[in-house]
Amino acid sequence: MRHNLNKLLFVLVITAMILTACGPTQASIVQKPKLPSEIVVGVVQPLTGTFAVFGNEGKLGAEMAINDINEAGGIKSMGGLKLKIAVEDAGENADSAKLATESMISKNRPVAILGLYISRFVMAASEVTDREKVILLADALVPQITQMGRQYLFRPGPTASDHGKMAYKFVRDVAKENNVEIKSLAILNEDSANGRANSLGATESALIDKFPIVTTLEYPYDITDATQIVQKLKAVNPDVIIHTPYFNDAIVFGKAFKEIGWYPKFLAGAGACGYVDPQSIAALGDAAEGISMTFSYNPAKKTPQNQKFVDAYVKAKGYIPTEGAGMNYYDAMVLYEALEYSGKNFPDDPLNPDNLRKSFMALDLKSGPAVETYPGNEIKFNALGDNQFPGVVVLQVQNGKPLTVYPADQAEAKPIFPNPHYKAQ
Amino acid sequence: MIHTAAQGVITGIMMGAIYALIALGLSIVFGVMNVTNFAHGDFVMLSMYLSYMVGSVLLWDAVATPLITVPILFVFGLIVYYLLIDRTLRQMYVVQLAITVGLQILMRSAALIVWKAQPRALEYSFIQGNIDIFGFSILTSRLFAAVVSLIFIGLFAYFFNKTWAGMAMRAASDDLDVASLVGVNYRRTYALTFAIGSAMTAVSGGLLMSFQQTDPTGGIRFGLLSWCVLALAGLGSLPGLIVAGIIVGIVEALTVSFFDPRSRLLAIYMIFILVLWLRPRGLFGRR
Repeated sequence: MRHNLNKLLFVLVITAMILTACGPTQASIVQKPKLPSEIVVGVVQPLTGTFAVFGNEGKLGAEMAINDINEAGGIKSMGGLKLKIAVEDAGENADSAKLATESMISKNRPVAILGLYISRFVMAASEVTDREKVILLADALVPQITQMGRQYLFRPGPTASDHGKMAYKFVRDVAKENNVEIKSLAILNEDSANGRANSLGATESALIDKFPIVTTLEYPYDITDATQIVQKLKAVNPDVIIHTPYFNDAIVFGKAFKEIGWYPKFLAGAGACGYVDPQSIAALGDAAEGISMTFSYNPAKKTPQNQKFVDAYVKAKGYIPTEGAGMNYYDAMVLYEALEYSGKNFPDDPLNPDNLRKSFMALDLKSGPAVETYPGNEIKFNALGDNQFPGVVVLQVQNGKPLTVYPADQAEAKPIFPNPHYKAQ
Repeated sequence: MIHTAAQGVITGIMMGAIYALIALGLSIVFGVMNVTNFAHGDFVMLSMYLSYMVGSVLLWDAVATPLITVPILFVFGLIVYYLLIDRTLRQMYVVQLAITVGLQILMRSAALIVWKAQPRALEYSFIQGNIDIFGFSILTSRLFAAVVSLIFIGLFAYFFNKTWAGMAMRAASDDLDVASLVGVNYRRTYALTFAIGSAMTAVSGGLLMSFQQTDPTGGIRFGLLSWCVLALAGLGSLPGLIVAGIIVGIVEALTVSFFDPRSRLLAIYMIFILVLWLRPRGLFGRR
C-alpha cells in the first residue's frame, strides 16, 4: 500500500514537472502592451521671447511633416497609427525650456520631442528627456550637446563645426573655380558657443590647408554698431571674411560694410543665422547682395517630398522654408522612419523607449521622406547621436533672393564670386 | 596706433552727441520731476519701431520720420504721465520705481507681440556714406545725427531758459511748493516735461534708425546707456550732458579699437561705477 502511494506521488510529481515545462512561460503570459489610439509627438520650441522667430518656424515645419505623415497613412508598421502633435513654449531661457519639457512629458507622455533650437535649451531639456526616457530630436548646432552622454538624444542635422568647415570649403573651391586669388582669411563671430563652434570649424579647415588667418574677432551678439570692427577689418584687409552672426548682428554688420563702403573679395556667412533669411534681406536690401550663408536645410533640393513641403510652406508663409522649419520637417521624418522600423522589428512593444532608441541607432537611410528633405544623401547615427553624414549647403543672396549655390550637385544657381560690392584696393 | 586712436576719438565724438540726445529725455524727467523712469530706453525702442513703421509704410527716409513720430511720442508721454506717473508722485519712491519697471516690461512685451522677435531696419538712408579726410573715415550718418542732436539739445536749452514754460519747469525743479505759490500748475508742468522727454526719444529714434536696427530688447541697452551718461553728467547741466555723452562715446570707441569688442559695455559701466563712487553728483551736476 505504502509502496503504491510512493509510486503515485512519483507519477504526480513527474506529471506536474512535464506540465510545467510544456506550459506557458513567465514571459509569454505577460500581456503585450496595447498600442495607443494615436502616437503623441511633442514640439518644445521658443514660441515667445527673443527666439520666437526660430521657434515658430520650427513648430510649423514639424506640424507640416506630421500632417504629411498622417495623410500618407500614418505609421504603417503599426497598423496606420496616426501621429498627434502636442506643443509647449520653451520660453526665453534654459530654465523655462527645462520646465516646458517636464510639463510636456507629464501632460502628454510623448514618444519623442522635437526642437528646442537653442543649444543651451537642448542641454537643459535633455537632462529631463534622458531621465524620463523620451527621445529628443534636437535642431541645435553646438557640437557639445551630443557629447554629454545622453542616451535618448539624436541630432539628424549638422553641427556648427560642420557649418564652419563648409563655409571655408565653399570659399576655397569657388575662388579656384572662378580663378580669383585669395591669400588671407579673417574669422569673425558673435561670442556664443554657437559662434565659436562655427569659427573653430572654419579655423580647423584653414589650418589643415595652411591657409593664412590674418585676424580672428569676437563681439557680443547684441552689438548695435559694427563700424569700428569693420574699420579694424578694413585695416587688415583680408581677402575673405568668414562671419558667424546670430541674427540682429548680421544686419548691423551688413549696414556697416555698406556704409564704410569696404568689402572683402568675399563675405561668407556660417551658422545659418542672418544675411540670407527674408527679414535680413528686407532690412539690408542691396547690402545683402552676394553674401553667402551655410544652411542645414536645402530648400532647392529637387525631390518630390521636399517640393511638396516647400510648396505648402510658401503657401502658408509667403516665402521659402527657413532653416528652422526645414530642420524640424526632416527631424519629424527621421522619427517617422524610426517608428516604422520599430513597428517592424519590435512588434511586441514598438513604442518602448529602448526599442525606439535601438531603432534610431539601426537606421541607415539612403532614400525616403527624411533623406528627400535632408541636405545630404544619407542619415545614420553614430554612438553620440549625431548623423555620420552631416549635410550642409550654401545659400547666396542673388538679386534679392536666397539661392542654393553649393555644393554643385544640390545647387540651383552658380555662385557669384567675388562679392559684387568688392572694389580692388 | 595714433591713427587708430584718432579715428576712435572722431567716431566717439559723433556717437557721444547722439548718446547725449538719448539721455536728454531721461535727464529732463529725472531733473525736473525727480522721477526715475526705468522705461526710458524702451521709449527709444518704441520710437525706433514707429520710425520703422513710418519709413516702411510711407517710404520715408528714417531721418524724416520724426516729423510724424515726435507728435505721437509727445501724446504717448502725456497719456503715460496722466495714467501712471501722476498717480505715483505722492506715493512712496518704491511705487514709482515699480510703475516704471512695469511700464518697461509692458512696452517690451507689446513690441514682441506687435513686431515679433525680429530685428527691424530701414533699408537705406540718404545720409549713409563715408567721407575720407586725411585718411580718417567719417561716417556721414553719424555726423548728420550728431549735428542734429546738438541742434535739438540747443533748442531745448533755449526753451528751458528763455520761455515761460521752460522757466516753470525749472521752478518746479528747484522748489515745487514755491513754484506752486507763484502760479505754476505743477501737474501741467510735469505733464509737459514728461511729454517733451518722450518726444525727444522720437528724434533720437529716427536718427538711430538711419544706421541701426531695432528689436524688442533694444530698450535695455539704451536705458542703461542713458543712466550712465546722466550719472557722468550730473543733473542740471546741458553742456555737461554733451560732454558726458562724448566721454562715453570715446571710451566705447577706443575700447572697441584697442581691446576686445566685448569689453565695450564693461568700459562704459566701469565709468558708471567710478563716477557713482568718486563723484556721486556727476562731473557737472548742480545737485
